[in-house]
Amino acid sequence: MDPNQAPPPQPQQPQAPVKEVPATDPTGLEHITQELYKKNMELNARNKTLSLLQKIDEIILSSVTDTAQTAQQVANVVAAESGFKFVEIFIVNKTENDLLCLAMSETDLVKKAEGEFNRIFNGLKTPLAQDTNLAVRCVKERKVEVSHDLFELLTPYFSQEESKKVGEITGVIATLAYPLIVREEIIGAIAVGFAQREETLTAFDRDLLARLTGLIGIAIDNALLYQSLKEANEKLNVLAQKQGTA
Amino acid sequence: MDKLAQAVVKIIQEQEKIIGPIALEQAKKVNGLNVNWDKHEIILKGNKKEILESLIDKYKHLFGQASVEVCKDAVRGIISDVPKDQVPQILLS
Repeated sequence: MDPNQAPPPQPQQPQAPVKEVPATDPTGLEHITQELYKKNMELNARNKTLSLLQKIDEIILSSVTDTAQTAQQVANVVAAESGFKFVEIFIVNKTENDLLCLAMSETDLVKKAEGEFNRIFNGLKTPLAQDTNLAVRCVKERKVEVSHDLFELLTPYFSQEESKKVGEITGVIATLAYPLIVREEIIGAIAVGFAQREETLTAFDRDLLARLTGLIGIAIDNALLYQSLKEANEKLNVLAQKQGTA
Repeated sequence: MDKLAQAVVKIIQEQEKIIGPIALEQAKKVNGLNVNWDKHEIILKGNKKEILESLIDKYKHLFGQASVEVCKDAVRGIISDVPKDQVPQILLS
């Protein structure tokens, strides 16, 4: 190499982007405080989710084995802890080819709506042929369904006008229906009412809903299995008694 | 307790979950806002809308827009039937 020649230019190392320090926050403390706040927000949301999931665990492991009672306790605790306007749990009845409302959260506003029309939600059966119904669509399509019209959830038991009134009483703006799938089998659905459009759901809401449907599916399936077992045992006992007396 | 006072209590409660005792410290600095937190009692002396707005501004000044969103989420169910002219604009946007 000619010593008189200028050394070849060194390849430029990529520079880390320099963050501009705003004039109003020369020390960066304001930025740090705000970032810490956001992290705390996330932790708070996560804690709320975990606390609620623990309560559902306790329901699953409790001495309550009746399916409807289990569903009711779950619906009530989720509505109370999450602030959702309502939580409705459906179960597929293959024998009668319909979707049974197993539980509707017993909040003051839901009770007010039921009182207004002298109708209760629990026990309502929606034929699986009712394709316009939100929960039926959710079960058939095995995916989340969204609606901004309560009539889609309440049909055929409530008219358009009645559904609008229920919406006004409960303050529901959007309803999401989630399929409950256990061991790849669709066992029902859960419908959740929100006071805002689904696009504005908080991080807590999204995190919770993602975890909730699996756990609720397990809770209902557990109760159903226990019920089947109990019925089988009762039949066996009857048979054994008959054989004993024969 | 009227709706705006309920909104103040809820905001402080939700902020407390994130920032702890600083939430109450800041609330006590708001003019016109008397707080007896042991009993969760709030007295608003003066223009209630302005007092609520000042409370939210206190948090916003320290913690930014994220804290405003927490305030909005906290009061969503409470202020839905309060006349819009009685609600701080920051909660409506």
